Amino acid sequence: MTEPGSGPAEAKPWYSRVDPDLLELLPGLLDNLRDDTEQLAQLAVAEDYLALARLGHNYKGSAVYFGVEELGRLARSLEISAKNRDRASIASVINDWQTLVKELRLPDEP
Amino acid sequence: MSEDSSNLIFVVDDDPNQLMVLDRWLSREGYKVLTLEGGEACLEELSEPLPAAICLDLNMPGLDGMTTLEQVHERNPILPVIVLTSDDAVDSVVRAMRLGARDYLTKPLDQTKLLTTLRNAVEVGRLALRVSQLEREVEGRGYPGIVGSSAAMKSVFRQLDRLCVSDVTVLIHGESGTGKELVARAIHQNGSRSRGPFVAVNLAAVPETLMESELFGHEKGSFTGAVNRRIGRFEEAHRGTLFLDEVGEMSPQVQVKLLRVLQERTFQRVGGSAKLSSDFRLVTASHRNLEEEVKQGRFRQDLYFRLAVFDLELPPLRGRKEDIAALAQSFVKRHGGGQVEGIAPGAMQMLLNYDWPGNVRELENTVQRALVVANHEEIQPEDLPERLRAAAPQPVVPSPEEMAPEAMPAESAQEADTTLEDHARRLLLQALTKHEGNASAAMRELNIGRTRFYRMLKKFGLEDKIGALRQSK
Repeated sequence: MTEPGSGPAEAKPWYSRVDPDLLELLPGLLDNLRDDTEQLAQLAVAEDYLALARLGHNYKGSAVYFGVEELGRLARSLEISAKNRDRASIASVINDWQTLVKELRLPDEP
Repeated sequence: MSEDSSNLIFVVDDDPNQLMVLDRWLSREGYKVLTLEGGEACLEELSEPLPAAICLDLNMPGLDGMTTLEQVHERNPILPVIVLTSDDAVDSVVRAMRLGARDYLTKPLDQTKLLTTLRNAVEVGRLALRVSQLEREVEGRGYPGIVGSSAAMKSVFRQLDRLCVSDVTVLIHGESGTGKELVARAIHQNGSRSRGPFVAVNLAAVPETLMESELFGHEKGSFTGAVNRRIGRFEEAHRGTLFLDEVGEMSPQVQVKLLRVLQERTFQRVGGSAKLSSDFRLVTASHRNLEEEVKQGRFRQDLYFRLAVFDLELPPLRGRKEDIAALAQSFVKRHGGGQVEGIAPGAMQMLLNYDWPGNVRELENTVQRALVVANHEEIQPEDLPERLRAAAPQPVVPSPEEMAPEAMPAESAQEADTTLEDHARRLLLQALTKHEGNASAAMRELNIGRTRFYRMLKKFGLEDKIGALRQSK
C-alpha cells in the first residue's frame, strides 16, 4: 500500500516515513500493533474502557515509530472516547483503526 | 556501583513498542539496557548492579510511575530518573519533578533529545555519587575502623559508597572475623537512617525458644516468665537498621517467620493480636555460603532471595595481606595507650607471614595480647604468640646457624633457649659479640632503639659486656 491518506500520484510506501534506525524493528512493531488491533473489538464488547484508554494512550506515544500519522490521530481519539465511555465513537474509531492496520503490509507480505 | 554498570539503563514502560524502540536507540549509543514492563519489575531489579539512570513511564497499570519514582528514591535518592509522559500531563510532570525526577520527556519521544537528556542525567548521577563520597571523606565520616588499601578492600569501599546512598537489603558474607558487623554499622552510620537506631542481633546466640520473643517482642503473661511487655528487635529498629548476624544459623521455623515479616512487613508480638509494622533497613550476615545452604536444603531459597538483594562479600585477611601492616598499626594506636608505639620489623614480618584463619579479629586480639606482654616501645617477636613464631620462615636477625661459629659465645651456642627471654638475651649477646661491643652496630643489627637496647642490657644483666668486649678487641 501507499502512505495512508496520500493520493495515487504519491506512490511512496507507507513505511518510507519510518526512522531508518527503526526499519529493522518494524516487523516486531507491526506484530504488536496487529495483536492489539485484534484485542480492540473484544475490549469494546467487554466495555473495558480502562484498557481501551490505555491502548489508545500507548499508541498516541508510539504511532510515530510506524511513520503513520493517522495511527496517532486514531489513538488519541480512542483514548478520549474510552475515557468518555462513548460507545459510538469507540466503535467508529475501532473500525477506522482496523481498516488502517489491514493496509499496513510489509514488502514481503501478500 | 560496579564499573560495568556505569552505563546500565533501566527503561520502564508498559508499552512494548516503547521498550523495543528505546532499547534500540540506547543500545546503539553503547548503553546496556534493561527493559522492564512495570514499576514492580523495576523495583525488583533495583539491586546491584544499580543502573546509571532510569527512563520511567509515568502512566502504567499496577505500580504507576509516580509511586515507582518515590520508591526508587527512597532506596537511592541520587539515582537519576527521567520520566516519560504524554504531552498533556503537565500536572504529573510537576509532581514528578517535585519527587526528585531528574528530567522529563514527552511522548512521542525525540531520539536526539532523549539521548542528550540521558547523557546529562548519567553524568549528574555520577557526579552526585562522587560528591557524596568526597563529603564523607571531607567530613571524616568515612568508614571508621575499616582499614585497608588493597584492591579487595577498595572494591568493598566502592560497594559501600553505593550502599550508603540506597536503602536496599544487604547480605554480608565473609569468614568469621572479617568485620561483618563493622561493615553493617558503617552502612547504617553513613546512610539516610543514621539518625535512627542500629539494632544488632546475633541469631546464633539467641536460644531457639526465645527467638520469637527476641525478634517480635511479647505481651505480658504470654508465657512463663513474661512478666512485662517486651518490645522486639523489629520494633526497636523502627526508622533505623536491623542487623541480623549469622542468619545461616536460623532454624527452618524461624526462617519461615522472618520470611513472613519481610513479605508482609507486619508482625505480631508473642501473645498479642495487634498487627504491628516497623520501617527498618535490613542488613544480614553469615559466615556460611548461603547459596550452598540453599542447595543443600538447609536454607529457604525464597528467604535467601529476600536477604541477598545486595550481596556484599568481605575478603579474608589472607587474601589481602598488604593490609596487615596498616591494620596492626591501627590496633596498636587504638589499644596501645601510648605505652607502645609500634611494631618492630621482626614482629611485623611474623604478622605478615601468618595466615590469620581468624581474620581481622584474630589480628586485633593478637596485637592486644602483645601490647599486654610488651615492655618495649615496639612490639617484639617475643611478644607474639607461639603459633605466629612457628609460621615465621625467616627471622629478621641472624639465627645462630647463620652466625659465624667463632662469633658465637661458646656458652650460649651449646644450649637451647628455654624461654623467650633466654632467646632475646642470646640474640642481644650475639649481636654485641659480633660487633665487639659496638653498641650502635648491635642496635642496628637488632633493629631496636637506644632506649630499648640499654633497657634490655640492664634486664639481662649484660651491662658490663660492652666494656668487656671492647677491652678484648
